[in-house]
Amino acid sequence: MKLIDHNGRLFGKISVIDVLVVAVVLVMAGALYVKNNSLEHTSTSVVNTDITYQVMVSGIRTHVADAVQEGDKLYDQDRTSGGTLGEITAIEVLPGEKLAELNDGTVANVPMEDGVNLLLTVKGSGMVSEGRYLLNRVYDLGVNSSRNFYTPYVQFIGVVTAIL
Amino acid sequence: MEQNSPKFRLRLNLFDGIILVLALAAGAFLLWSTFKPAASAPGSTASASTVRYTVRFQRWIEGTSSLVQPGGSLVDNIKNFEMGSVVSSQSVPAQSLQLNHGERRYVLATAPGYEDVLVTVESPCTITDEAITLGGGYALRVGAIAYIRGEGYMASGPIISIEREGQK
Repeated sequence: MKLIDHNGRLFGKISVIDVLVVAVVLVMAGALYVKNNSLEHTSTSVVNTDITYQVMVSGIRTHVADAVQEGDKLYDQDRTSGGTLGEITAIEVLPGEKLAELNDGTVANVPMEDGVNLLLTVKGSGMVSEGRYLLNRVYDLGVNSSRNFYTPYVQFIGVVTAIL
Repeated sequence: MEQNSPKFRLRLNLFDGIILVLALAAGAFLLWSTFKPAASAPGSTASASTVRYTVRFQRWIEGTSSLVQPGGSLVDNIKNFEMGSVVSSQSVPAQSLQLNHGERRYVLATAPGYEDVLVTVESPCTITDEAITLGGGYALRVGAIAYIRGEGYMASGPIISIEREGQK
């Protein structure tokens, strides 16, 4: 018996095209299953958890600091975040310091007039997977990352200093 | 004379049927996703309102702050968004943050021959959870540098405050 007959049927029973279609459907069904059940960050069965982290905003003018308030929602200007990065739950005002290159060849954090540092505590929602903190499952959060953040009222550059 | 042509008959085998069903389902999904009403994210309501904010026009030639008159309209000089109209203005010494190497600190230095102008502006706006938008596209935020065209003058400087609702 021929493997494929003159009508293009396998063993004279099923068309090769039909077999390919069935294979494609099976692969798609398998991919959908893996996406929804096996991959943690796309799974519909994994629940988001609270992620609390701290952002240091260094050397900002007092008028900028005054516009940052508890309860405001935080966003990133440059990266897809899938919504808000969380809500500011606490603000600690610290003496203002800014990095300076001095003419004696040194670099130092020096105090600034009319400036403060802010340590923001932010509570977001997301998941922790294989050592990655993913806010809204899409936004990679990492200590030492410097980002252009904003709230509805103010924008500033901040560095993530801790994930609590 | 009658033609002896084979009569057309629609015959579907099982697999053709499956393909047809899948194609119809895909088409129906595409139609649904195209015409479904846009779902709004929870809490992302937009409301029309009025906002009052202050912008610091920096380093104006001394004596020219009188060009800024209450009622004058302001426009974003980059994308031409309406930014509202002037409520009041006040000239103050022109200051900028400079590094004092001797004292090892940043200080506010005054620039002689120049002045800064604190301009309070009122504008219609759209408020959402994420932004206050003026003129249909200008995101108003403290700390951002605004590039502004007024009536007979140009200015640039940071937005230094935005009044929140219920705040005076």
